[in-house]
Amino acid sequence: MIPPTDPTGEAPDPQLVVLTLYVNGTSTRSAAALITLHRLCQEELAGKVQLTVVDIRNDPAALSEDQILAVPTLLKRLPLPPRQIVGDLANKERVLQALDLAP
Amino acid sequence: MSSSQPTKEGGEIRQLRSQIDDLSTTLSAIRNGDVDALVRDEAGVLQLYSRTTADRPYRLIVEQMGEGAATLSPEGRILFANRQLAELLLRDQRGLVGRSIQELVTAEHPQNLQSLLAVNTGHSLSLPLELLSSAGLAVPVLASISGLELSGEVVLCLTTADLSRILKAEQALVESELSFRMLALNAQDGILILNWESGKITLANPYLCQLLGLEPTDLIGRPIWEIGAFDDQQRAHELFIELKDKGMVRYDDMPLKCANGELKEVEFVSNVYLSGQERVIQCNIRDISDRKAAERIAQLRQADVQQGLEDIVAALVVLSEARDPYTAGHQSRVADLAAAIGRELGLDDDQLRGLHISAQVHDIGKLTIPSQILTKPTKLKPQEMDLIRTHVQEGYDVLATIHFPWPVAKAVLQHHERLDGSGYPRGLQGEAIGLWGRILAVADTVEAMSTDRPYRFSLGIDAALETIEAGQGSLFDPAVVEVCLRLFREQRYEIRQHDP
Repeated sequence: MIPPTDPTGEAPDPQLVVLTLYVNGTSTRSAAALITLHRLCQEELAGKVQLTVVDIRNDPAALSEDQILAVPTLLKRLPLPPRQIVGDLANKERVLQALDLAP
Repeated sequence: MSSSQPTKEGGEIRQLRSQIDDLSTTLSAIRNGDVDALVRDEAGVLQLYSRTTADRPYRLIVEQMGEGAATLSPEGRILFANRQLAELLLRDQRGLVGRSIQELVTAEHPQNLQSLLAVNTGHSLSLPLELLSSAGLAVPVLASISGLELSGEVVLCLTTADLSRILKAEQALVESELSFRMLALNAQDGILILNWESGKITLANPYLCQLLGLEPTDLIGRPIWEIGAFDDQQRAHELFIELKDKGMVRYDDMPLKCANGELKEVEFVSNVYLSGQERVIQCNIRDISDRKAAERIAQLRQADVQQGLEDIVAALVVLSEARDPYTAGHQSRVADLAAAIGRELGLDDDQLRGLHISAQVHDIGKLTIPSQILTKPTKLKPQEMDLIRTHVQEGYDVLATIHFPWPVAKAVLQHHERLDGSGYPRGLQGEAIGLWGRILAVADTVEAMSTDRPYRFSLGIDAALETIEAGQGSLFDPAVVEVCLRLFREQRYEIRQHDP
């Protein structure tokens, strides 16, 4: 998980972007998605993103919490509304647009 | 209608549109095969259906391989870690994803990690690293990184081979070799190690070099049969071949020639064993020269002692027979017959020697009997017979003071005992009478009856044999009687006359 850079522990920044990435272990798509997301978090969302990576093989219970249909799935929890994108997550622009995060 | 209603409705519409867009992209991704797995609700239980892709075998290999493995971004962020790496670091596998590899490496090899992360696509590099486990322990590994291109991005594939076991094994091997080397260097026996194929010496310990008066350079690299210590080189070579065939040879007494020409007697034990995958031969050589010399001296002294005893016995016999001319030669003839019986019964040479001496002195006690009684030509009175019978105990008392290496005194004491207890001086019965006493009883009886006495002429050998035959099993040992009868009746044994 990449934590937000706010060290004070106060109420989250309204600009905070909370993301959850569901992956299936060692798949190439999962690896590509991770690379893209890490780059995205550092370049576009630096200081205001909280990314959690869930490997569903180790944590299958998480599937039911967010009603995931397929993996890989990137879920934006905040800011509302919740959005998600499934499948090819290697395209940074596509990801930003699908999550309503495009500038 | 309020001014907020259109805004609320617009927000709901936008949310619905977003949901529709999300579902559309999800459906599109599934149809296009852009997903790895689908989630299906089966009777309230979510099941994950993974796609069997072409890379599945490789994923299985990564999960089941013995080494730790991970994929990293070029910056060193962990994108994936297999179970083995997590176990190596005593960390949760899920918690490794997203962490920087720099956090999990000690400062032992600072440049190595930087070099590994700088590997470009299509290149590989292996360098030692020290990983840091959650328990704060350093785990030495050999880290290998390969740069791959994945969907336009560079991904670093890392594998880690745990060096701690290898280092421990190497350390143990070093210690074992050192221990063996110290053993060989300090041993007080000679040790040679030979190449199994060639027989060439690969190690000669200081003790052996000193024993043979040779330098290590005179031995190392040379076939063992050529070092000059063996007189017969061909035989020594044959022994080497025999050793290779049997795996072990042992010689309790082998002569080795030293550099100064001196011969050493050694105990030589050689065996073959495996050193790793290689067969080697070890020869253990113990110098027994001093022990052998001591044994030879002891044997000579024993021979001298025995000769001295025999000389004493001969002198006693002469002394005793000088007083009684009728029994002159009697003890010697009994000795010859007793030894012949003993030989037939299977006594060895040393026992026969002792039996012969016992028979030579069996009547030594008669020295204490007045000669006029010994040579009385008429029948003896009862009290004279009692006096005669004391010669047995008298003889025992004298002989018991001499340290014979055989039970001479006991045999003399028992030569008048009989199996049924009718003998004297103690009336022993059966097995209480020793074998030598039983042999002397038969030999003494046969000789006495077949030679002249002061009070009678010889009764003849036939009568003597009939007498012991009649007493076989009751008075005399049955096996001894059988042998004596066979000697005379089948082997034509004759009682030889000895000069008085």
